[in-house]
Amino acid sequence: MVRVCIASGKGGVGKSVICANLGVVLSERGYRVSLVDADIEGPTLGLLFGYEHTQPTLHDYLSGNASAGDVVKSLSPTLSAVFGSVQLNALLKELELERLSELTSMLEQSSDLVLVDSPPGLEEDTKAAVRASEEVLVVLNPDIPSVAGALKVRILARREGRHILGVVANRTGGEYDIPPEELEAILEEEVLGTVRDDPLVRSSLVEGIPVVSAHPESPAAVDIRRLADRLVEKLIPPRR
Amino acid sequence: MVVDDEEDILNLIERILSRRGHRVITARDGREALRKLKEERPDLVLLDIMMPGLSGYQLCKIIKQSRETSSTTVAMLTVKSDDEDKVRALEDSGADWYFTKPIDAKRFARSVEWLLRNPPRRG
Repeated sequence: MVRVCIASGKGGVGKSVICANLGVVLSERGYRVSLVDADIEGPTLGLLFGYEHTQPTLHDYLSGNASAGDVVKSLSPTLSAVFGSVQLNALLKELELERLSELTSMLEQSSDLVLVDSPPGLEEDTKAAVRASEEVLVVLNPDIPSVAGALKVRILARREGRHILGVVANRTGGEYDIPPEELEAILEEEVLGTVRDDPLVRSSLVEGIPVVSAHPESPAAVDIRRLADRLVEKLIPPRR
Repeated sequence: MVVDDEEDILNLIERILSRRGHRVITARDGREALRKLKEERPDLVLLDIMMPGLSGYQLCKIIKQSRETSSTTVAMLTVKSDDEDKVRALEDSGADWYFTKPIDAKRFARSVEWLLRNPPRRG
């Protein structure tokens, strides 16, 4: 019953990987999860699940050429997703970004959790993804450009009146990583989890199977399950 | 090196860090800082932002753009706590870190030692 935008000011930090894998873990625990790939210009969520081309897509919904029911793809009994189009001509269509909020509100009615994979940066498409959520989960890598990006997400979230749920440090384990306590100090947000840099994440991208399913004992999968525990504590009331 | 126009802050930081065995150089404005930077080659510069003459932002940019000093780790130490100020320091001025006053002495000393040991990188 909550919509969470997964955001980062900087691209390439692994936002979609976190989104897809959190979705899988939480759905396997019985929560009803909907994923929305709102990265309009660079959707990758579908690829992470092995779908190169799906029709219709979020782009069709935002251009008024498909209904919400048409674009929601069921991946398991408790996991559904709305993927974006990777085709260039989809970007040329006139998209009504405000429809994204309508879609996530609709999905929220039948889900325990809606995860919105936001575009990087602070453009209109990112604002639409933030507006289409109540909470914002910031993903970063433990380096300076990523921290600056996370600060910009905080600025955007504040302007849009959205609450920051916390921070996820992805691809950790390097000698020059900014430690979690320093991230918390500069961002004034809780680090909800750290996910170790793991070559098996890259393998899973090629396999088209999220790492928590393809390599459940891998370091990244273990960390993502721990992150999921923390998210459940923060967001979802205990199930009866 | 600590650069601040407030004597109390210079004394406080000097006390905190020298107690942990660090040699602390102080400067009261940008000009003094630039001169001492060349003479002393500090491992870390802690910069106030609001100072007479050169601001901390300007001074940081000069340090980071000069070939002689570009590899010196620079952290802001300021009362300015807005995210916009932090972004300006990290992105526009090239600062390596950002501390907001007031500080907790123990916590601050640990952070300084982290910066001296493993200064963060730009990706």
